[in-house]
Amino acid sequence: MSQVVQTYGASVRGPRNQREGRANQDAWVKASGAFGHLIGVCDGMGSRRNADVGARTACRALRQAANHWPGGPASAKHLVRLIEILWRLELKGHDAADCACTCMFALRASDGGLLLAGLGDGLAMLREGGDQLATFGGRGSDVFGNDTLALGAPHRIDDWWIAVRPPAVGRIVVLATDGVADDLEDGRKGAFVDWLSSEVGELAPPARWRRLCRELRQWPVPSHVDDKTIAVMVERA
Amino acid sequence: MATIKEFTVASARPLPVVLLADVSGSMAADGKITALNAAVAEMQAAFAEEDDAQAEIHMAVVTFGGTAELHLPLAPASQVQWTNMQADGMTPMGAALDIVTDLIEDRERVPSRAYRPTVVLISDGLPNDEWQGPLKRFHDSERAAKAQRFALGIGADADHDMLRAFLGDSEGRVFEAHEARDVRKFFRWVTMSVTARSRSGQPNLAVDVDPPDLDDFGEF
Repeated sequence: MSQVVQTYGASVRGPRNQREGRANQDAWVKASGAFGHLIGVCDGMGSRRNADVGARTACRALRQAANHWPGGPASAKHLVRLIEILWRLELKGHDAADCACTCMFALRASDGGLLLAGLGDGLAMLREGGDQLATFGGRGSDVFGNDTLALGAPHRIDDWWIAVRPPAVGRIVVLATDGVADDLEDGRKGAFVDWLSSEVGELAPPARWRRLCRELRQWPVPSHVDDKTIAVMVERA
Repeated sequence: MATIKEFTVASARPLPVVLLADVSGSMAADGKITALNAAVAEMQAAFAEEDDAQAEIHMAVVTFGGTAELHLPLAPASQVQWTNMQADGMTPMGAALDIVTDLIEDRERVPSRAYRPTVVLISDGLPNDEWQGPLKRFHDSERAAKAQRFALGIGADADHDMLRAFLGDSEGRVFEAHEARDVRKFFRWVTMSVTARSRSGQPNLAVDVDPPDLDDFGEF
């Protein structure tokens, strides 16, 4: 069945970086091409001097790596290795440790197969088939940890979580950095995904972006500090 | 039209502070329990008034005197109605450690979005139950082991080895209070350390606070 794939998102600077005069240390990307469709979110580690550079560079690396993705049975691990290499090359002389950032993406290949992967904090939510909501990443055993897994910080390739899904109909993917994910009510994540795909997703692109930015800027949780970023991919019949 | 508020939690990320307080019979001597009650009440009031924080400070108090029990369930400091502790009985510190470990490991009471907890142990004597096993369980647990720890020994009979063992490899320091007023100083220092952490950009990281009036503390 032919499907239209919508991709959109937004990122806003959190109160802490506003107060300290620092740039948004989150970044997001959407891209389409022969490979299919891509969304990604990256979160620069707040303690690192060039975290914003790292996050933006990771988004560029995601876009470049996606263009090499053949889909099908190709190994997802090769793709994340390529992302790591491209990120380091694209840093163009910046010290990788100063640019440490998390990285999470969803890549829908042209055959409809879906690959989700992530390193570090942040949450991926996948709505597929009726009421089922699958989540990936998020805070687990890393609770109270000082440092998350990240590009530019010590980790192994196996620290990436990877999920592969066959072609399907009507899926929704939402990627959120921890500034968003940490404050979502556990029992409302499915409704959040549905709201993003329906009420927000059905707006025209400029209005949709403004609406997302407004919602993220008017974050209702007391004492929140983090930058906030969301990327959405919706398959529509 | 829905807004994002319908999908988010209503409260700030909590920063739990758990006191592990010796209220055995010996604490009734020399005004120690009176000083401890006053110091904890002052700490609670300071946490409740904290309005520059990036976290909401929550407090719990586990006491061990005769029995180990949860004297104050974990709750936002601003909502706590403090009631004084009474000193009586033996020193079942091992049982109290188990209560603290269970509390911090409970994802309902300490959610995953919480900041790293602070655990403060105050004692004036030797545990009289089996404490090594519960302490090992505390140190080996997934979440409690990551807590920031403080320890205060009150008087000459405090079990220094046990207090040191409680801190383990954490960045905490063991302090000795020779008289009642030292208890208050210690709690002021803990209060400053916690509030500094809650105001910092990264409340999961310890903030070194070294007020000069602590110089007259004995450190062992």
